[in-house]
Amino acid sequence: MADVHIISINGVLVVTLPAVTDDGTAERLVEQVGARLVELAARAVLIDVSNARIIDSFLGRVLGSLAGAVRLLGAEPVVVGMRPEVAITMVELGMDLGGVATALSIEHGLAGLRVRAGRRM
Amino acid sequence: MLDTDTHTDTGTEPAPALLRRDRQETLRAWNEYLDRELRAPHIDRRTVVEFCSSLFDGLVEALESGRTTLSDDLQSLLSALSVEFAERGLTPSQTATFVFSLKHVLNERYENTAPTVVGLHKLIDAMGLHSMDAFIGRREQIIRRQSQELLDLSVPVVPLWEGILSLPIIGTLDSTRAQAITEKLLSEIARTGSRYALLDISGVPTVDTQTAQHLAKTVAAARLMGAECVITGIRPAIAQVMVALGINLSNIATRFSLAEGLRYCFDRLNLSVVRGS
Repeated sequence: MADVHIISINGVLVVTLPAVTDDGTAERLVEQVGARLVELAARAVLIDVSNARIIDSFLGRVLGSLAGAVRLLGAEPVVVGMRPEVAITMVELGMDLGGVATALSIEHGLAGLRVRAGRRM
Repeated sequence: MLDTDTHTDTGTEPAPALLRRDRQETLRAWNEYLDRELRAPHIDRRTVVEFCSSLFDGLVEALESGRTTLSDDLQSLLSALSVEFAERGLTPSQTATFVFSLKHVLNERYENTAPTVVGLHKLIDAMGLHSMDAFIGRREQIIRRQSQELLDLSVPVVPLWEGILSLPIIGTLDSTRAQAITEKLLSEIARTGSRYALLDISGVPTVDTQTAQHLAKTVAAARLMGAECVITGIRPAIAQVMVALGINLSNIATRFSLAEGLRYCFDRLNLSVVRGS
């Protein structure tokens, strides 16, 4: 089973998906992110998928449910760093992660969060 | 079939030896014949002469060894010849003439004392066929390359501003082009780290449901990567058609001109254009 890396930067969780995510990892992923989110009272979760070269319908659904769970816990999910070929596959599979924010990279994602936080103040 | 040594009507010499003896004269006759018949000004005469002598030698060698199939050397020689001809724009019949004219030359020369070797004809036929295959293969390669270039040319992704790409789409948007456009746009987004992309469709003659679907897919894929697309250059007539067709692009930002699209991106990036004092 591949490891899921979760780090925290200024109240933002950064979750890095491994190159290949198997069923077990996917299950633990949602659990662990939820636990860390509550523990740190994070306001946003960046889901870094830049390592993933292949996303099938299963992983697409995992991303969707992860984002949904994060939102239910009151934080903002952002999917970052999706590769072009993966994006095309996702669209062909009919999964457009409707409503979930996206960003080109972790940096862009953090910058976007700062801008949105500034607007809310 | 391999009776090259016994089947000699002249009775004195085996065919390969005869051919070898008359090499100079045959080659000269062949070259003269080609000068008259080939009519290919784009090809260097020296190249023709070289090809002739190499082919002739290859043929004689093949006869001597009693083979009826082409050796690798002879095949690659014929391939080189055909590729050369194809690249210089010669016609298939000119290429065929080149190889098959050797038969003609030999017939003329040995009219009465013909070394009617079955193997010889078989070999020349095989040579002709191989050169045709190579010729057409090369032509197809050229056509494939050109259509790829055409496809690349038709997908110009232009950086308009830091973080803003523009993609003028000109011509009909079929699925092959739509795929090429999507791939190019996404890879440029990844390469330049651009957050906005303007898809300008002022050069698209009509928008039907399929075109709109292609556009929507491109926009969705770009969004998954974290870039926002703005569709610009929608003419009033096209807007009417789209509404009539029930095409709904309401979750995609659209503007009527590229300039308006750029203004939208500037707003989003919190940039403003100020007239100099």
